[in-house]
Amino acid sequence: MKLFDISDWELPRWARWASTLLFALALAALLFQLAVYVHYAISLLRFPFDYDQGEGFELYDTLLHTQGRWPYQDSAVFPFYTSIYPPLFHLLTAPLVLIFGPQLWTGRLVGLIASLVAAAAIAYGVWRGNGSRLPLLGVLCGLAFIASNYTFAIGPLFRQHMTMVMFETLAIVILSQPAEQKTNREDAKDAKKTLPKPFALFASSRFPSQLWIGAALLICAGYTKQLALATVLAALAWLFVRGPRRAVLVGAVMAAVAGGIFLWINWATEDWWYVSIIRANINEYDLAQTFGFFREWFELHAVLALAAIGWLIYETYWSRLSVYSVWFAFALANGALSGKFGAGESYFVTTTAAACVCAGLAFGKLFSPQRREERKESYSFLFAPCASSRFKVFVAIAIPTLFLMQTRLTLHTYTEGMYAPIARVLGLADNSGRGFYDSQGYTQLGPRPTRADAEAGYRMAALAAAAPGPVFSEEAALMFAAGKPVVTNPFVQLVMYQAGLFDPAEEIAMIKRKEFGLVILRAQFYPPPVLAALGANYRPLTEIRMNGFTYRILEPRP
Amino acid sequence: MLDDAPITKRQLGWLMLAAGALAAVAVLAVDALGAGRFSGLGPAQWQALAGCGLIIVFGLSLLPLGDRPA
Repeated sequence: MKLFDISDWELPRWARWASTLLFALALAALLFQLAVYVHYAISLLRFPFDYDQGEGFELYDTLLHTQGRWPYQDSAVFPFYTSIYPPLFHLLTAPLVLIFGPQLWTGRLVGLIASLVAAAAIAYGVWRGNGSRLPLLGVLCGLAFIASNYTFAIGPLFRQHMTMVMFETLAIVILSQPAEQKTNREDAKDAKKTLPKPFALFASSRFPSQLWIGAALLICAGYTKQLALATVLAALAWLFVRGPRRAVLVGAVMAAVAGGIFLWINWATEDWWYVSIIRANINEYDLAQTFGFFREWFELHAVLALAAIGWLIYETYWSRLSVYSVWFAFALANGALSGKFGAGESYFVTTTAAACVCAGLAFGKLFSPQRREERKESYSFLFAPCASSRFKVFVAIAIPTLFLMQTRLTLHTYTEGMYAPIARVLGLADNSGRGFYDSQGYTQLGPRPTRADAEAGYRMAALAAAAPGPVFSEEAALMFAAGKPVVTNPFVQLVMYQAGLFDPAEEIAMIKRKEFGLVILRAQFYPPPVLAALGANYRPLTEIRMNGFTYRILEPRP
Repeated sequence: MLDDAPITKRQLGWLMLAAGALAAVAVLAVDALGAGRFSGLGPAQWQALAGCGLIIVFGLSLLPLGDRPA
C-alpha cells in the first residue's frame, strides 16, 4: 500500500514533485511536533511532584480505589476530601499504583498512551472514511491532533481528560463502521428473512457488534469524565438520523447500564457520589471566558476548524451526515461549557479530535475520483470545476500547504539545548520564561521541569515530613513524598463552597487550633474563610519556587 | 416495524425547528420559574437563545432539501 498514491490524477511533472515535497515537509513538521511531545512526556514521567494543579489529588483518588475505598465522601469532616470526577481513569491506573506505589508517572503514562491511541484512531478513521485510500492523510490528521497546543499541554498529565477523549474517539470511529456496510433497508430485508416480524427489530444484522462496542466505549468515556456527555448525545443523534427506533433501543440500553452503575455507586457512597459528581460541577458561568476560549481555539486551529465546518456543511446539504460531522457539531457546541468556573482549554480537545477527522475526510474528498459521478447530480454546477486539471494541481499543492499552515498555527518547541538551532532557524524566541515557545503565548504547561524543580519539591517534602501532625498542603504529591496523609482537595472545596455544598466550619476550627504542623500554598484555591483563617493563625516560614510557581510555606503563629 | 427508515433532510429540518423552539421556550422559562440570577435575561441566557436561533435557522434551511436521507 502506497502512503499517498494519486498517480491516476495525471498531474504535470512539476506539480507532482511540488506536491510530494510539500507533503514531505508537512510530515516532517508534524513528526517534529510529535518528537517535542514525547520529549515533554518523558520529562514529566521523570518528575515526581505535581506539575499541573490537582494531579496529586487524582493520584490520591487512584490510591483510594486500590484500597477499595471511594473518594466520594463528606468533605466537611477530616480529612476534608472528596473527588468530583468519575472513577474509570483512576481504576485504569490503579494496577500500576498497586505494583509501583503512589507515583505520578503511572497516570501520566496512561494519559500519554491515551493521547497516542486517540491519534491513531483519528488516523484510522480518516483512512477508512476515505475508502481505505491515501493513508498519508490519516497520518497527517492524527499527527495534527498531537500537534495541537491543547493535546500537547494536557496529554501526558495525571488527568482523566485525555483518556476520556480516547474513549470518545474510539467509540465514534467504531460506530462509523456498521454504517459503511449496510443501509437500514438492507438490514430490515435481511431480518425479515430470518426472524418473525415482531422480533425483526432486534435482528443481529441491525445490531452489529461494533454498535455495542461503540456504546460500551461511550459509557466508558462518560465514566472517565462527565464532559463526554456531548459525544454520547452526538452518537445517539446520529444513530437516530440513521434509524430512529434502533437509536431509541440503543439509548435505552445505554441509559439502563449507565444509570444502574450511577445508582449503585450513589448507594455505596451514601449519596456523596451525586453531590460530588453532579452538584459540585454546577459552577459559576462567565460568558466572556467562553468567547475567549472559542476565539483562541479558532485562531490556533483555523485550518482544521474551517475544513471541518466546510465538511459539515457539505454533508448537511449535498451528502449524508456522517457520525464524524455530527460529533464535530456537538463537540463544538459543548465548548460553550468552557465558561464554567475552573474550565479550561481542555474542553476543546474533543472538538480538535473531531475537527481532525472531518478535515481529513474533507481533504480526502477533494482527492476522490467520485467527484466525476457527482457531475451527474442536479447540484453539479458547484462541483463541476473540481474535475478540471487546474483544480487537481491546486488541490495537490494546497492540501499539504494547509497542513504546513496548521502546524505553524499550533507550533510549540523548546528553545534551548538541542532545540536551540531549530528555534533560531524558525525565528522562535522563548515566551514562557522557561526555555519554551508556544504559539498560544505564555502557558503554564509545556516547559520541562528541571533538576532544580525536583530539588525544590524534595525540600518542601522534607519540611512537611519534619512538621508535627498533618500538613495542610495544596498539592498531594508532596504529602506522598513526606509520608503524610492527604488533607483537603482545594479546588474542589472552593467550587463546592461556591455552590453551598461545603461547610468549612470544622476545617477552620482545626486551623484555629493550629493542628496542622505546616501549610503549603500554591494558587490558594481555597474558600475565602479558610484562607482568612490560615492568614490569622499561620505566618510565613519561607517561599520556594517550583515549575515557575512560588510555593508559600506557613508555620503556626506562636 | 421493520422499516426503521432513516430521517430525511426535511424531517431533520422540522426536528431542528421543534428542538430550537422548545429550547428557546425553556431558556425563557428559567426566568418565569425564578431560577435565573439576573432580573431579565442573563448573559448565559442570551447565549443560549442565540444558540436556539441558530438551530431554528439551520432547521429552516433543511426544509427545502426534500426526502433525501439526512
